[in-house]
Amino acid sequence: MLNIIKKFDAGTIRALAIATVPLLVLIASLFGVDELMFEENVNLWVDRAAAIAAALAVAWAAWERLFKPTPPLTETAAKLTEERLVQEGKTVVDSSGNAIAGLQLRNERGHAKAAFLALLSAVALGATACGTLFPSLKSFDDRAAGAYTLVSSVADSANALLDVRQRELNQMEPSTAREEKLETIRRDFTNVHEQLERARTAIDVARSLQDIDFKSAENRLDSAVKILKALQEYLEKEGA
Amino acid sequence: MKVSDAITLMLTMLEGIDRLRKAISKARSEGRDTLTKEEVDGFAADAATANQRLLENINSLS
Repeated sequence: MLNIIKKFDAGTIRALAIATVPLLVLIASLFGVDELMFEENVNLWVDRAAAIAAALAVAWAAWERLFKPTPPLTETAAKLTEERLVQEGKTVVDSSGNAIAGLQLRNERGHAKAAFLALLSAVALGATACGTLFPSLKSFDDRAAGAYTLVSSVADSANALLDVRQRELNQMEPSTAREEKLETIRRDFTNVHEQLERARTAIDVARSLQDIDFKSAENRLDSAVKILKALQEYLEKEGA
Repeated sequence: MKVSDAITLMLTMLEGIDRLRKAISKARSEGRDTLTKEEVDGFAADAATANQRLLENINSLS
């Protein structure tokens, strides 16, 4: 399956689809269709199709991860997995020491938990939806509203992850390790909160500047969106 | 986190994005090229509320 994914990489398909758009526009123009209107519509449908494909890919990956044995991604990982199975007595080796029944016995589920996969799907779906919506935001005020929506989405993601961390803490016995973990979580999420506040303030300032210095306002808005995207990526890694 | 929590989160995120999409569609259908200041203020208020909620949850960690 990995080979198939390599061959049909989503980015390649999207690039091919986008490259086809000018051709379709050209053909349509031969039949008297308004080129601009047609191109806009086709681009919109390409983006929608890409978003649906991305959402389906996440759902499919989650399904495979939950109900299928986890395939090692590299030769080294495969070798280490076989060695571990031999150590655990879950596999049979021949006289040369080669595992001969490891694959049949390797029936453990993936390492990801269902809730994490759901969280990842939520974040990925939200990011995909934002990625699809944002390019269509043309005016400054529209983009400011989009940036505020991103602040809300990142804050909601952080809240969900914080909830996961609280449950992890609840399962720990009172100890120094627990206290240290609590402090680390508090510090990390306080940083996220402060960065979000910084981004939100930057959007506020950008809006107040738009009538005075539009270029500066644009720059501040772009900076805020960059902070928010970095935070989103950070939370995705934290969730993993 | 339970799966139901994650689904709720997903719906919350999509709700925010969908609200933005609807607001923009409404503006376009009314012949406006952009959202009004009041509409953008609404999104700003939501962002402030979401971040405030995060701070409250951080403070209630135990």
